[in-house]
Amino acid sequence: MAYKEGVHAFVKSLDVNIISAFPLTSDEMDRIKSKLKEKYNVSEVNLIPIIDESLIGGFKLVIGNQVIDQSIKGMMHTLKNQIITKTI
Amino acid sequence: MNIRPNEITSIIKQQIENYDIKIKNEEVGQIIQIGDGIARVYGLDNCMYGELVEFSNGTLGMALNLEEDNVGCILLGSESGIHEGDIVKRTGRKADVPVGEALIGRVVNALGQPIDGKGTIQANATRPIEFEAAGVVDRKSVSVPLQTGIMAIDAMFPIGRGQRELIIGDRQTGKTSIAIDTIINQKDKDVICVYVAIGQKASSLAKLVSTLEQHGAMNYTIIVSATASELAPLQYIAPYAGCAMAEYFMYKGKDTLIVYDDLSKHAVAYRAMSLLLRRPPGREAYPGDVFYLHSRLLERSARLSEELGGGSMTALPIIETLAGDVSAYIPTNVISITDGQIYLENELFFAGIRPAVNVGLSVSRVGGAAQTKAMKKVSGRLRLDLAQYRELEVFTQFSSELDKATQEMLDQGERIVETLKQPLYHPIPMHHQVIIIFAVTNKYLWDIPIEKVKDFESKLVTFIDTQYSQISEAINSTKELDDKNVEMLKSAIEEFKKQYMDEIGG
Repeated sequence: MAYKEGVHAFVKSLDVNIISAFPLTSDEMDRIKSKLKEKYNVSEVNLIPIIDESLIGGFKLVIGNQVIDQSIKGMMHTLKNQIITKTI
Repeated sequence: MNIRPNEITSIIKQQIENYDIKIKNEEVGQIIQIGDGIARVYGLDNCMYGELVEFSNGTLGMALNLEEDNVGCILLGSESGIHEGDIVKRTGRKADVPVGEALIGRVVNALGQPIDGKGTIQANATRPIEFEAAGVVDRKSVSVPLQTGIMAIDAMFPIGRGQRELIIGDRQTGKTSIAIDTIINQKDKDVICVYVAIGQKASSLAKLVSTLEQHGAMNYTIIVSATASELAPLQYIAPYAGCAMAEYFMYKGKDTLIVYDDLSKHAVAYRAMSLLLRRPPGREAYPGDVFYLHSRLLERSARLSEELGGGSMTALPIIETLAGDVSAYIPTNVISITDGQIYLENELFFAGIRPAVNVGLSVSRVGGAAQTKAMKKVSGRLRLDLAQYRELEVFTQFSSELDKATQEMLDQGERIVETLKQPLYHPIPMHHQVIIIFAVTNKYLWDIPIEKVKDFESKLVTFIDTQYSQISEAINSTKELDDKNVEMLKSAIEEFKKQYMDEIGG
C-alpha cells in the first residue's frame, strides 16, 4: 500500500474508487474527475467504478483513506441516528 | 404522560423535514490486526490522540497509539463481528460521557450507559473524559470541612472539601466502608457523590447499591461501574468518566465527593492494556506513565475560586496494599499525589478497633483548616493522648504494679480507643462528636467501666439533645464552642454522669 502511494505522489495522480448503485454516464464521470483534480491538486485522476446496489442511489467516493459518502444508504443511516438521539 | 402514536409520527416527520443534507466526509482506515481488545488500523491519517473511532459492528474504540504507519486502538466494546480488513471510521470527537442531573441516582457503566434497568438517561450535556485540571489561579485553599461522620477521621485527620485523602490498607480492613459511611453522611449536606467501582465483583457492587438505597443515599449519588469481567479499557476510563461527571457539578458551583474504589485495580487494568499495546514495561511491569495516570486524575479534584463558582471536588481514592507494604510502587505513587492518607491496619481490625485507623501513620495535610472551631478546640489533645497510650501499652502485658500516673494514662488511652470505635453505617453528626470528645478528653470517663463507655456516650448525647438542646443548637449553628457553652456542657455532663452511675449502681 505504501509503495502505491509513493508512486502516486511521484507521478501526481490519484486512484479513486467510485461506488454507485447504478453505472454512471461518462459525462458524470468527467465532471467528478475534474472536481477531484481541482480539490486534490493532481494532474491525473483514475476513477475506478464499482457497482454496489445496496447503496440504493447516489455514490460513495473512496480517496485513499477518505470517504465521501453521498449515497442514499449513508443518508438514511445518518438520518436514523439523528432521529434516535434527538427525539424523546 | 401518555404520548399518542400520531404525536410521535409528527415529531419524526418534522425531524425528517428539518434534516439538513450535509456532505459526509469521513476518514477511514483498515484493520490490519485485531485481537485481545486491541486493533491496529492502517489509515486514519488525521486521527487525534484519544479520539473515538467507530468499528463496523458499531463498537467504539479509542486511538491511543499513533504510530508512523498505523494507529493502535483500544476497543470499548465487544470485538465479535469485526474482521481483519474491516473499515474503521473517525468520529472526530474525543471520548466523552453524558453528564448532568439526569445521572443522579443511577448506576452507569464507564461509557455512561445505564446498567440498572431503570430506563435510558436523557443527559443534557456531554463532557470529555480527559480535561485539564484547574490552574493555580483558579483554585482556592481548602477551608470547609467534609464531615465523614466517622469520629476518628473527623477529629484527627479532618478532610476538607476539595482535598484528596487516600484510604490505604490491606484487603478486608474496612476501606470501602469508610467511603460508604462518608457518602451516607452527606445526606442533606448538598454534596453530590460519585462512586467509581473499578475491577470489583458485581455482587459486591450490587450489595453496595442496595445499602446506599436503604440509607437514602442514592438520591444524591451516581455510581460508575467497571466490574472485574469488563474489558481492561473500560476499567481504564471508568475513573475519568466518573471524574467528568463530578466535574460537571463542580464547575456549576456545587460541592462533590468522588470515591475511586480502587486505584490498584485501575493500575492493573492500565498495565494490561499498555502491554497489549506493546508499550514497554517498567517497574513491576507497569508502563512508564502510571504515575501520570493517577496524577492527572487526582489533580482534577480541587476547590475552585469564587470567580469559577466556588465548587469543589473531594477525592477519596482507595489503594489496596499487599501485606501492609506501603512502600510498593503504586501506593508510594498515590501517597505522593494525595493530600494525606488514612492507613488501615489488619491487626487493629482483628483486635476489634473498627475503623482500624493507625493514628501514627495516618495524616491529613489540610488538618485544622478543615475543621470547625468547635472540633478543633476539643480534639487537640486526642492524638497526643493516643500516642502516649500506644507507647505505654506494652506495659499492660506485664500486669505488674504500675505507678498511678502511668495507670491513669493507660486508662485514659483505653477509653479514647473505645470511644473512637464506631459501628458500620452509623455516621455521627458533628455536634455529637464534639460533645463526646469533650467528655473523653476532659477525663469525665475515667471511672466508667470500659464495656459501658459506648453506652454512656450514646445516652449522653441523647440527654444533651433533649435537656440541654441549646448546646447542640449552638454548636450546629455557630460551629463553635464558646466558654459559656463549655461551662454548661461541663455541668450537663456531670449531671448525666451522676444519673448514669446511679443507674448502673456503680
